[in-house]
Amino acid sequence: MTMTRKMLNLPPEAAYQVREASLGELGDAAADIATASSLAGRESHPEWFRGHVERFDQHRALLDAIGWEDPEPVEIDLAEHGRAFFAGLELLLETELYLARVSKENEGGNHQRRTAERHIEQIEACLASALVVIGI
Amino acid sequence: MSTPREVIWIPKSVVLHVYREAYSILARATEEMRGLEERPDCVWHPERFTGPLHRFDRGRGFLDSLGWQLPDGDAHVAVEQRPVLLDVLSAAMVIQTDLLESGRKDGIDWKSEHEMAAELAELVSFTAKIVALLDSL
Repeated sequence: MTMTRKMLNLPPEAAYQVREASLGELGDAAADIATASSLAGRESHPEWFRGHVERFDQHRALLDAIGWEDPEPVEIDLAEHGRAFFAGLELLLETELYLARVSKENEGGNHQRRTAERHIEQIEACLASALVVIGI
Repeated sequence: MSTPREVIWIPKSVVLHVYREAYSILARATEEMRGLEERPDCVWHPERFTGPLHRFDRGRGFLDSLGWQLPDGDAHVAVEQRPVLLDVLSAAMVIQTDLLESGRKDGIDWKSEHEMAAELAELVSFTAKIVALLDSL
């Protein structure tokens, strides 16, 4: 079956956010695999691994697509990587919203708040562009 | 489907050891990645993931060939996986030796000691066959 490509152009700062989000998700999936791998009876329960390995693969593939390193503009196919893209950015958005809220309550947290708010703007802009590309 | 000539048969007596160590490869590689991801500068140092990703792929490739589910009887793995199989068997022998020695120190009963020693002997014997196979290729 041929999948229609849904290409999204990401400027370097957005690519950075997506990379950070995907690394976080990759780390979480790795942690889940590590936990399952250390449980008694793991050899008899491959189903403990399937979902975590699938999530690991999705984020690894997204990182391969955007590049693990170069802060360059990139183009990604949301038809192929949309699931990992949205999952990672939504989690990162939640984290930045939390940081912005907490830093408002902290004395001297202005710098952290401004950084979090800048990241929130970038992530929301990135998500909005992606929604347009997939036609929502 | 693999033909018998393309696979290495793993006897039931060592299968559980092989599976445990194969899963340990995954556990170590993913633990390593989790540790790297938690470092604040991880996004600037993707090269740190290269090693653990390679080790993860190695363990996963082995499990993909072996099958992720422990069988009731013998197992088999593609002949291309023999270097990983040898690593897995080497690790299993070290662990079994440690278990036997600590069991002796703790004064385990004769029957348990005999069983553990027999398992170790099976591992040593099978590993010797795999080493011979490697040498012949």
